Amino acid sequence: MTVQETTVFCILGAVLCLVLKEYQKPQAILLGITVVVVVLLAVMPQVRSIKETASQLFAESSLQPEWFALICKAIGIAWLTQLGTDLCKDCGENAIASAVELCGKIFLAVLSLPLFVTLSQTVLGVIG
Amino acid sequence: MDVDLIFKIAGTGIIVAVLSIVLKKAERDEQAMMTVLAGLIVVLMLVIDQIRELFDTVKAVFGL
Amino acid sequence: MKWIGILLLFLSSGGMGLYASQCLRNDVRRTEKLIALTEECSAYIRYQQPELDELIDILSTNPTYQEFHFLQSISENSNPYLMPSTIWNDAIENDTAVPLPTREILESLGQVLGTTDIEGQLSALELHRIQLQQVLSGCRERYQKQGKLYQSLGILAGCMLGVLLW
Repeated sequence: MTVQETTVFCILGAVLCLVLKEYQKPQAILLGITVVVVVLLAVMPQVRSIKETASQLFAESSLQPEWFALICKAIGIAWLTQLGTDLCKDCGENAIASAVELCGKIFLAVLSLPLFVTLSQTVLGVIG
Repeated sequence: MDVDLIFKIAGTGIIVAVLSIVLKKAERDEQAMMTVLAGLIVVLMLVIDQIRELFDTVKAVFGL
Repeated sequence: MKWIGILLLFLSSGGMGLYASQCLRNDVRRTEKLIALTEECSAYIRYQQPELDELIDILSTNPTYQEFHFLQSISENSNPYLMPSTIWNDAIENDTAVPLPTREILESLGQVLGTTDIEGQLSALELHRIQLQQVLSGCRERYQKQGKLYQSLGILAGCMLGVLLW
């Protein structure tokens, strides 16, 4: 899956969405969702290879390995939240978009709580 | 690349739009609305499989 | 194989739309013929004063009215023991070529033909002709409004099925 193909595909999808928007706005939004989903699915193998390379580099460093999984999860949550927010805004539902954003922030906070606990324990250990 | 799917959805959308205009001109507004809803449901059914595949892949890659 | 199936689906749904539109057009055409029938009846009764049986025979052998089988079945089932109006009504009920809105008018025409004097029959025929004209204008309006609609509905539904199964 080359960069030209994805670009052309997305432009084609955007033009078709523009045509549909005149007549049937819901169909246009659904077409947009489909284009996004198909392009992301096509690019997933590359993301997987990036993640594997990054995990190898991480393993060679002195940091704890479970933090890498945490970072990956955080990136995934951030990415999905951004996607959901933008799609809701495309539909014109800003309130729902804000709700998606808020949920993403909450999930990220919950995810990083153990890290904060470890950090505070380390700091307290150093100070006291 | 699933260009077929995109053309299917775009084609369905355009045909549903034309059908609804033709029915509205013939003063059959209820049928027009039903056609629009039916078109939306059909497209949703086509798209839901892809969305599920995407979320499964994201779960696998990011370990969510 | 898939292409052939899609093409067949498209053609069949387009064909259904065309058929529905054609049915409406046939209604208009047949109502016009029935009006011509009443006018011919008036002409025969005015100038030749035939018996009812003779009149039906003349009309049933006329090639313009060949598609109306009720004329032939009336002349075949002529029975002196049965009321002529019963034979007439049965024949019209069983004839599929008679458009539905015109059935009642034709049945009431059957009550009148062959019963009163010439002037009475002529004025009854004139009355029925006017009623048929009203039905005709209704049929024409329906054909103009809905004929194109059915055609385009058939073709568009065929396109949608084709696109979905592509």
